[in-house]
Amino acid sequence: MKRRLGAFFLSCLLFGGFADAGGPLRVTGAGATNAGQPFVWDVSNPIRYTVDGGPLSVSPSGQIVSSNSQGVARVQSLFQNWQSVPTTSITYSYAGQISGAGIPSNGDVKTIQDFNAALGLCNGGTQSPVIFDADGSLLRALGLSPLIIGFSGTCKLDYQAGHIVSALVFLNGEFQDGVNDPTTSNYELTADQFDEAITHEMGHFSGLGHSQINLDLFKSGFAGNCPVDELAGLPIMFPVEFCQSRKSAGLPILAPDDVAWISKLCPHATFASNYGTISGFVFFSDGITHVQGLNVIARQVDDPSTPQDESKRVAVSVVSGFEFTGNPGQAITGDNTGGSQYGSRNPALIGYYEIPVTSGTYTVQTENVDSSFVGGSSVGPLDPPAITYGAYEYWHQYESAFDNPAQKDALTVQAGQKLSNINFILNQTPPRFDQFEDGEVRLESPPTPFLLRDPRELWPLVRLS
Amino acid sequence: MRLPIPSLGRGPSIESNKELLDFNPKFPSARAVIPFFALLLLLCPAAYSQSGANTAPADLDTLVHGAQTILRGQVTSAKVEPHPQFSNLQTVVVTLAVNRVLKGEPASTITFRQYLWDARELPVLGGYKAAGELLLFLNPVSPYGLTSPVALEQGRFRILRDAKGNRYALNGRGNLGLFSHVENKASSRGLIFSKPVKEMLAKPNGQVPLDVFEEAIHELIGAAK
Repeated sequence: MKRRLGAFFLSCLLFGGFADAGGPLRVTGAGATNAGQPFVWDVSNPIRYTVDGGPLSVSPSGQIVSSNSQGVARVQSLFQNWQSVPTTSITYSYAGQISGAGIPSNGDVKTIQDFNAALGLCNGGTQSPVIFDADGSLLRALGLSPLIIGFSGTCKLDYQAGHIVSALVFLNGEFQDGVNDPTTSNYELTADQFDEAITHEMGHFSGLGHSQINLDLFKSGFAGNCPVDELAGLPIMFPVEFCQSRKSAGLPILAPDDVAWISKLCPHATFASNYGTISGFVFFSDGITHVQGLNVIARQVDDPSTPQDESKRVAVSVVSGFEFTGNPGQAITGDNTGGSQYGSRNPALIGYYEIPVTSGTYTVQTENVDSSFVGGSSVGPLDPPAITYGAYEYWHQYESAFDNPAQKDALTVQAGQKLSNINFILNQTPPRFDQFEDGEVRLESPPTPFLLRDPRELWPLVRLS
Repeated sequence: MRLPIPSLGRGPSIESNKELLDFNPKFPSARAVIPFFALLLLLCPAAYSQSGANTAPADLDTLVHGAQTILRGQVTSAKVEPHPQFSNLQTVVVTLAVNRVLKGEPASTITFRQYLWDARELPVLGGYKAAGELLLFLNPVSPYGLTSPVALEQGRFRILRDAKGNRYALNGRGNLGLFSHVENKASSRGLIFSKPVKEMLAKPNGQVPLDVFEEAIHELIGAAK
């Protein structure tokens, strides 16, 4: 039994997806100078992007609804949503129209041939194009759905340095053509909704992955008018867009989680004087074996003197093991020998988490990543997410495998302060293999109760024969 | 060049996926745990759609309306290769052994080519490798031989099983909003659903029984004609 359970956990590690953390989109792998670091842009200079030379949107009759200059201005404005975060150093710069071999002289990427040429420039690392599909025809040529608002992709990475070299953003202007006619598969969004969708894609362009916070909104089936406190804490990088626009609710376009993570990935000099860190490990019930793939959320404690619920509004998350690979590989089946090229192979990082937070008092909790967040909606390094017994737990200072998971202690964090070893021990998780398992060895039962063991301290082994 | 995709032909009969047991928050018996973990072993390598895209919410009526082909089948192969005409476009070529075709031409196998826009998808072959049984709503095939699920993860449903062998469908949004306004839209076309379908349509999200789900699809296809 123990062997089977161990095989499950091991196989999830072996076969899990690529790294795609709740903070960074992906992290460096074995080929990097520093494995386990987020892929980020070199922000010593602005990120130079080129833009399609055509209109952003045209009507079905061919009338320009949003011109090229309006489109360029909109793109600049949306990049500005990220650039204007005061604690990040990321900046973007418009570098003119897309130009190069195979691109029309007016820079208008309209056909699949043009798109192929633009991709060539992006794959070569020479340009990071922003492409307007003014009437959705390019999406259809690519066999993609007219329901796609936009997408982003990384074209070239410097695997050794851990840098994003080039990336692209694709905008479906049909959503802004003023026509909402589902019978012709022509859909429409408000300008705010469209802007939020593209800002999300620009977050990926910038190196951010998905974040899961206020999941209850999603689980409870809200599709429209979400409560404002929970919407305020819902990251723009949440995997699915389903509430009313943040702007229409009087909220800034970025949630605290978005602001924290763009600042963490690309910190400005002011980051250290504004943010502290909560970090630690998530363990199975044995207190030594790391758990990868659990969502860890730091929530500000509600201030009863304000009408808002800060515990819903101010929250930052990351997935445990976000720096570790989701796919270490295996040599048994012959088709996954090397595993993923992303993520560290240092086992000390399997259950590690680290959350940047502004000064304040926080509770910290763990939860499963929602099982429906797979593939394009994935959160964290494991895809699909692992479902872990005992995943729902608050941290408190007497963590053990037998505690009350609802018991919580608050942590006060100052700017520049690093609170480490805020460790979780999950309750009721099944027994595990140990690293020396050979069929003749078993672990001694853990002392009861046990508290916060040093993760490097191995349990004594007992030979059975 | 127009590619012959999707290519339809005779393929091997297939077996259904391994059993999936419902998650039980109380630690279950060893007897129950073994098949549960065995199936999770199978599911661990799977991923189901591309990253980095934002799609508008699509209800079931929209999925049915937008799909040229709706089928359920088992992924038998998936490989990444450049598009034969446009070498900078990476694509995944997916073959399924078909269990049921709900819309489109009957076939026992189907092969289609999907564009991948992020090179990091390559290690997992666009999410289809070992994906098991899927119910797919596929867009019309473009003149360049490309297609994909309608609204990406929303038009791709995993088929799950519980301990009793009951089968369920769940898309990449947890079926959130899948049934919003569907009954109103259908009734405006004179369609009246059975009681089980009505009960399913009342769900805001979460997995739904496969047989009832396919009945609703069948009805919506008929009503759209």
